[in-house]
Amino acid sequence: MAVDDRVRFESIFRAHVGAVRAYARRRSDAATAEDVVADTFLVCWRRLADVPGDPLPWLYGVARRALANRRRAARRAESAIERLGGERVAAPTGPVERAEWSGDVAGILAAMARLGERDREVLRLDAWEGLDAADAARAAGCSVTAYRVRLHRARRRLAARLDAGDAPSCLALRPQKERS
Amino acid sequence: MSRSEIHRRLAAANPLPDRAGEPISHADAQLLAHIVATPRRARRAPVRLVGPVVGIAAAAAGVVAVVALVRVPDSSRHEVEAVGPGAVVSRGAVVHIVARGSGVRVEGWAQPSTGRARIVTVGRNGSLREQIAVSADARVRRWTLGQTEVRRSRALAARERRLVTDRVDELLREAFEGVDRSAILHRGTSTRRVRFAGRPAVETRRIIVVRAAVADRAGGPARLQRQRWFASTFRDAVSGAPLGFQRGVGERVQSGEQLVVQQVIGGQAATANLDWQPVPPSPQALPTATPTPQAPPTMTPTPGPTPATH
Repeated sequence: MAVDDRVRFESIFRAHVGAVRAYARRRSDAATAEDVVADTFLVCWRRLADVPGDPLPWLYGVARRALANRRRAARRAESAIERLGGERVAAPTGPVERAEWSGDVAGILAAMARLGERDREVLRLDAWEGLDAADAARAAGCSVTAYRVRLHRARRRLAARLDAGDAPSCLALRPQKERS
Repeated sequence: MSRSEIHRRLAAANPLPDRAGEPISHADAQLLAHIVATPRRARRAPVRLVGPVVGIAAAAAGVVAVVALVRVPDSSRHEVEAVGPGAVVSRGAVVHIVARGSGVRVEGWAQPSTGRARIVTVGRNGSLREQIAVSADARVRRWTLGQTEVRRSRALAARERRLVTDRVDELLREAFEGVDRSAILHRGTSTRRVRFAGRPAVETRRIIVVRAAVADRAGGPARLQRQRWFASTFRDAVSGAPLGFQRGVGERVQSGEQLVVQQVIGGQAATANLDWQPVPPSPQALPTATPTPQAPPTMTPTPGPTPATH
């Protein structure tokens, strides 16, 4: 194993672990976010040769897939518990699901929660991660044109939801089931 | 509502406005140390070489086709090569694994290009304990304890295929699946250098501490207690190839196995291993008036790979 690889990986880790954790934390609960961070950097370590010069969008892309895997596993676990007649003690909560927001923030999160996962993701990449179109497209795993189209449509749908006045209730804050 | 207005409101709703900037924590430093201690897979060729490689492969395939037309086909010939996790398997080839543990021997075959797979579990005395066959259209046929069950499920079929192609990782996934995440108190990963099956290996141990109901041995009501579960994968310290898997509670290993063989085979013999093999008759299905002594059911021998001829 080349020493250069280890040095490069450590510099990537130190520079971006905070950003990847924040990315995961904005989309999931704390425990899942930690798992996603570990999964993402493990993939980065194993596929270091594939990591581009600006690794952050690539890392976001890996984290997005890791999150999707975790969600699928969680759904399987929930259905297994239901089949066994068990009862969940408490649903895990992420920042978007929490009902402690108020005013405008609650309204916009409630409207967002009613969008599909794809729409939510492009909106978050744009407004929360602050990526430009090229980087966001890389993170979303699509072309720049497709990303721009998705973002435009997502904004339009969000505006329609906000204009319709989605109430910031606890129920409304639950996100829709992820579209496959 | 304007585009900038939506952007402004969305940005204001960011639950974590400061995305980075935090110094590396002790936990992060530990995670970094664990990751770099994990063996890396062998590098694959860069994507930019795919074009020329495909061209060369096509030319080589043409030469092989011409040679094959000249030579008399021999169905007993096949190739055997070692395979690592995630290796690219050529079209028609079959991944073959043999694992040993908990008094059973597991043998599996999977053909990634068609999706067909078969797994058999054989007991110590050679008796067939279980047979699972997966068809290309996700039909899963399982025989165990004299009962046959047939289900069509893409998820189940994919899982059974992974139990051949990516066995150790799939066992790890299964180990923690179904755990109620709300009952998890702690989770962590550690790596250490060990010897596994006489070989230098790296153990990656995943631990979760859960609050679980534990039955009272004195007969009283079950009580919630902390339980520490682990699931470990063992990989070759040099090549990173999977060697085995263990899981248990505390430090006690409850189940585990050693991956004895992992290879890619080709030819007729390999494909024949994907076919469903006859199973011992169910005792309930034979209500004979005069029972005759029967030998214990034994596994039907299946055509296996023969040594490479080149």
